Amino acid sequence: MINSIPNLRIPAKVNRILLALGAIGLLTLIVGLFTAQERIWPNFLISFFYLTGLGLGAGIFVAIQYVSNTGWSVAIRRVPEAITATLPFAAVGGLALIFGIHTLYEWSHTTVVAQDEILTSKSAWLNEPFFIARTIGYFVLWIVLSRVIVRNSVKQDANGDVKYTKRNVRNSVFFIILGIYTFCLASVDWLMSLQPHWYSTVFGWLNLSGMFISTLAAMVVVIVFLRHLGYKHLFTTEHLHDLGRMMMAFSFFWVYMWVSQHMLIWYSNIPEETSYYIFRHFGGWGSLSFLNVILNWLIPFLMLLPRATKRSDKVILQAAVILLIGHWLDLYIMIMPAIFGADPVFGIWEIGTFVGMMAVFFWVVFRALGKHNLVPVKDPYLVESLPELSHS
Amino acid sequence: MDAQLFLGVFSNEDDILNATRATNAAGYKIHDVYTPYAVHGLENAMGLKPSRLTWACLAFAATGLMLAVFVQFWIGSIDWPLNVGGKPFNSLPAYLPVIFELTVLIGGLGVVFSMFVKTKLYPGKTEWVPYPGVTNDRFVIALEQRDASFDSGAVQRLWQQFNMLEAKRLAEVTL
Repeated sequence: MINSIPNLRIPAKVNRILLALGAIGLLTLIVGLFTAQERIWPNFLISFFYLTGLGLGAGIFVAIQYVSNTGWSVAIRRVPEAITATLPFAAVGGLALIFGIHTLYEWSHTTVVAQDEILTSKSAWLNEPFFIARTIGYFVLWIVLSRVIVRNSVKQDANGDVKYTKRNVRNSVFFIILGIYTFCLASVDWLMSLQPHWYSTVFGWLNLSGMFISTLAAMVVVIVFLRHLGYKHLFTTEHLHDLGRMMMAFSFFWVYMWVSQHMLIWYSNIPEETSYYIFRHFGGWGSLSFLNVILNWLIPFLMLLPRATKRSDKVILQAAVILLIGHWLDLYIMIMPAIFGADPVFGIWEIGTFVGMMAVFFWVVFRALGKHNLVPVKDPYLVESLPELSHS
Repeated sequence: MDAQLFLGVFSNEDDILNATRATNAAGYKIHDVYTPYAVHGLENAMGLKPSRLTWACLAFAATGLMLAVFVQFWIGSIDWPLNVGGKPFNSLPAYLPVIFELTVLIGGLGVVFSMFVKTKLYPGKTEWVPYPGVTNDRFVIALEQRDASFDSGAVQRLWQQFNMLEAKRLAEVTL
């Protein structure tokens, strides 16, 4: 069995670059708050929602592995566990979002709500105190549950006691049910209420699929980087192959959800539903919506279809990066037209906040990865994930 | 085709994997390896080429896709145009569910039946088991023995390193 694994050492240069990019992101945010408020808050919302999805998606990925008694993923489990460490940072973003409520959400202005019959009837759910309470509640739930699961997993490294696996299976059941349900609600709160008259019942699922695909893509990026650093014996080509399959499947799941929402609204053709797609189907937004499907589904799907590409570090990394950019575009199309109805805007504010958020994400993940063994060394299923190493 | 098979019987997964790897490396022609369940890594150990079934699957799926597009277009726009909710007769969003289903259905069924044809499986085929325990707890390598230069002694010595239980010759098997 594997007993000890050298601690992860990220090259100092990589950390410096990540911190510098993170600082640029923060600077963009601060300068934007003073010079371009209308522009910076939607961008902040994109990055905040993106980061939240990455952290929560990783937690749900770990939970799914426990509940299904999965063997193959045990060796790579520390990567999603480390990604959940971004949730507290996302929670800080959630608190900051409180200051942007009035810029972003139409329903937060009591004068507007008073004149609008529909918003008045929705005000039991869409009001400021309840919105803030829900935002805090979601993060408390997600952080506590993911922390409990990660802590049990780390404790098992010391003595290999099976009780930790059993406890985590139970915790994971709660995490999957509560996490998925609350994330659907959160996407309704944070994104769908940008256009408070509009509603869609698959909106939560659409975001759930986007969240999961972005988490998988981020995991692939981290793992390819670790392989590049020389951990190919722990993060094997087989793991990469399996992740590539999941990435392809969830890319398809995303487009399935996208078509489900789009087709039903197109078919029924009711004004209160089509108001969402009217914006997003013509002019610049129309081209971007088309590009969205190409980036999030067609290109990754064709790239990952052959066996060989899923086993190639280079190709799978390209597919993962395309999916990460595609997920940003997906959120951009959901959020931006609600605020800038006329034409798409793209510039320093969009690039700065997104790059800064990604840099902070990778910095946090690498720091969290260095704290514990890179592989759950005493997990009872590790032998299934790394048969070659475990037998010798 | 008639051939003689030379069988080596083993009792566990690790032994059969190592024995298969060594046999393949020594250059013997492996007819097949029989195991009670799917053993991971066996296809690499046997040196099998990647399956061509994926191409059959792709071809069937593409057929299904084109069929679905054509059938819906022809019925909805040419043969029997119906006004549904004021939509254009030829509208792609309405076609998507059927396109998806037919692609998956014909791709899935096609690849399964391709496998049946290739492996000569059909209803009522009499089953053939090379060794009685192979459906329970025994792992068997079968070598093809075609010419006089086949040295069964050398093969047995090779297999004995991997805790072989028994070696056996099957004469004149119809494959």
